[in-house]
Amino acid sequence: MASSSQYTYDEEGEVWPFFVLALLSFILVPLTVSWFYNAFIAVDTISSNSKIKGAILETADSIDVANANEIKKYRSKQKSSKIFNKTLIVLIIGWGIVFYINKYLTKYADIKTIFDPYLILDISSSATDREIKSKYRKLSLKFHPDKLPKDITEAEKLDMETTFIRINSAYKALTDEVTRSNFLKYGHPDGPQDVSHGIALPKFLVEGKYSPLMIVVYFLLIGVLLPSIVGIWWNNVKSHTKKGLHVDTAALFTRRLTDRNPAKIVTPLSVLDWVLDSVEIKQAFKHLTKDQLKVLVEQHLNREFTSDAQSESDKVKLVSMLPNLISGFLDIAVIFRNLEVILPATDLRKSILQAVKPNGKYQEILQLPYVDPKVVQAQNVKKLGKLFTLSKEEVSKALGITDLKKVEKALEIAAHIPSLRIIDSTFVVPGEDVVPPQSSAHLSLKFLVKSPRLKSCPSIDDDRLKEEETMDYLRNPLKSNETQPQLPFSYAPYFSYYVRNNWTGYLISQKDNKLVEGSLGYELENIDLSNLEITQEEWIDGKDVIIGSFKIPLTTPTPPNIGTVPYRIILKNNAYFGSDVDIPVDLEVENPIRKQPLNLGRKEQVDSDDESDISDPEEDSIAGALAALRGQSVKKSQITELNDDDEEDESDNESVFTDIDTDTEDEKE
Amino acid sequence: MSLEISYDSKTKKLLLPKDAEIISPEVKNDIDQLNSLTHEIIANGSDVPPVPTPENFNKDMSKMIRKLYETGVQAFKSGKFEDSAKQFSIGIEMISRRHKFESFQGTLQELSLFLMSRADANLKAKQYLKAFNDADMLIGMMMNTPENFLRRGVSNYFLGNYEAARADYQRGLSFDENNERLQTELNIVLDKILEENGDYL
Repeated sequence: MASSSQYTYDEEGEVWPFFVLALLSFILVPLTVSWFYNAFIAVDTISSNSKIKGAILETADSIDVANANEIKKYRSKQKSSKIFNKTLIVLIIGWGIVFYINKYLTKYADIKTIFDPYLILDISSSATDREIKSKYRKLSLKFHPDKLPKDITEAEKLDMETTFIRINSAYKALTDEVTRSNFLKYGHPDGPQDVSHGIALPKFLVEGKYSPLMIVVYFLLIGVLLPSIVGIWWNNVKSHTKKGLHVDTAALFTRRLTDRNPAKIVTPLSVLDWVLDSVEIKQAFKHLTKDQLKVLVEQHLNREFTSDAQSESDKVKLVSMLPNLISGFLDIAVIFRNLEVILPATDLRKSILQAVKPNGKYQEILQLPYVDPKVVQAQNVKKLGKLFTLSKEEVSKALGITDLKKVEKALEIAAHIPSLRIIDSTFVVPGEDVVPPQSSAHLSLKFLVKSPRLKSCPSIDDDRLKEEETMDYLRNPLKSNETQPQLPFSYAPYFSYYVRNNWTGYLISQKDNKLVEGSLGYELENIDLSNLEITQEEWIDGKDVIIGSFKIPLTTPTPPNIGTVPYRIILKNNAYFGSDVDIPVDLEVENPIRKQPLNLGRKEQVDSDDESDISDPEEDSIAGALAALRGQSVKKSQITELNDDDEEDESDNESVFTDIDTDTEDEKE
Repeated sequence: MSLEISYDSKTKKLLLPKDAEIISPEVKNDIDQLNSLTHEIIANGSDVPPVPTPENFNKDMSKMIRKLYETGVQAFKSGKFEDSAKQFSIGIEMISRRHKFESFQGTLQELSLFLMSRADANLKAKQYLKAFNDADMLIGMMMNTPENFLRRGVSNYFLGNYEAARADYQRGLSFDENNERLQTELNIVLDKILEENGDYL
């Protein structure tokens, strides 16, 4: 039998529908899954807050925000745009095609042409000779032409006869030596079959006069469609940064940060000024000037509402865009390591979320619902904690709320605004008792979540603060950041969508008041808030108090010299005023005790001048750090000269200062 | 936004339209700085200004400034704090009139001395915002002495920015952890923060 290979064309239209179906399913299945997820599962909902202990459940509706309807409209618009979008059209058309092809164009492939003796005999491929024989006998008894029942039609008879032939050849294939080897070699008991390559196209398209058409189609596919898809994708990549900020906006922010006049203090409002210049805002609000936009933001911050529906909906839309832009700005500002820019930007984001003015000292109180800003700013209570030391009547007076029920609601919200009481902050090197030089350390913070209602602080045993050094911990000490329960959505009724509450940690070097080189804002997203629900007695008792932890990696190895390096850690809450943390932390670099026998000589040296040891190296490291800041020689001469020159003035100053200090004490008393 | 920049060959200065200040304060600022630098170079008489060294520092001016400083201190000692602050302000004005191409090292020294004294005078005169600005300027100039943080901290304290005052004291202590005055002030402000929160230890 001559084996030849040839092309078979899909004249009957049997194969190409399957080809198209396969292609379509590759696109449609992932697209459908992602659309479903976006439309129905990923929708932020405050209802998830009810499952979190210590969360605030109030929304724009429950506290009667004046523009609650406007916010609701915006939300439903956002939601419907998640359901009714271009993807949905693609999905409908795609699945329509799939359905049509499936229903009308596919034909059942004739599987009988495929020869599988095991399938024909209906036995498993591991069957023994005996099983094969017995099965064959049973089947041949049933289908043997002589044994067929008399009352069947001619067609049925023919069918049974072919079945009998197939059963016979299947049996042979499994028992007869020659046929068996044929089957194993060529996949068919009769020896090699013609090899054919299928093309899922009818012949006339490939070999007839229409073949140029096919070339054109191929050309369009590869020469036009593919490049344009890649082009569109690339354009998108090029016009937006990884974080979704328009590149021109990112460039603008970078320019603003580079050209910043260091003599001018950056306030939240100057950050707002920069953010309003962004391309995103300009594209979305072509009909408004920058001054008009500013007025809208100002209205939002003052919780003022107008009767103009257009400007109200513009306001909600504008305000909802700002936090993401500010976050984008922060991502860039962090690279500049400049604290004077980062802090006002985070404050602005908070102000936007809470609809509270970023300047002044009353934000903590003003973030509460129902408050009368004029009354609040005319009195002395500035902090949430103070509210809980006052009687209901005094609180009502301080907040300017007359309805006692509303006062209670405001207090309930205030009691659930968490602050973090840091009880332990140390630099840790896993597996070491101290922080050795040139090691990779992280800052470990232990804190108690504290409600403003709770006073003082429980004493916690050191044992409870110690971390067990398991293998998991040694492998990734920062893992505990992820294992605590997730924080709820923030209480922000004046804002148009739900934002998860979090803290961002910035590690700052005290020497130059800048972010530590190479460090970012580290997000603290998982905290157990159960402490907000406990009573003062349970709090002081401290047994059931839950200790939270947060770890921040140190991006550079610890210094090579022994001594103390001062840092400062700031944790900024993204939504609440009065929740921030700002504490100094010292990194103390010491030689590990275990290595004593190894560098005995050095150790002894250190020991010999132990008393001066405490201050000496420290001075060294300060001088070193200072020298590193500005070229060494310059700094040195500056310091010395300054000291020489000012010797007498300095004493002068000091006497002056003692004067002032006693004065201040007087006033304080 | 576009601005027309012209050159006046008589005064040898770049000119901006009158409303430049409103249209773009940054450009106005840049051009002003450029003008004063070119003016200084021209007044200098040579093509390239001399290398700034401590030797060619204007000593006459130093003497005058020194005198101003002494009268300021005198006023301070006799309790006339407003006058003293005014004297120091005049001194600072004079320092900023110094030749722009002079050794900045010397200028910086004088300036920081005056700023420190003016901050103290302002603190005594209860001009806390002014005192804050002076201390802030000093810290901005990287004069990271514990005293400067004390100055800014005390200003912040009296301006009611207790958290900022605390941060100042703590940063000051990171430069000299045994500074007793900073420590006592820090304790005072920590108590104040607790009191404001209605909290206790």
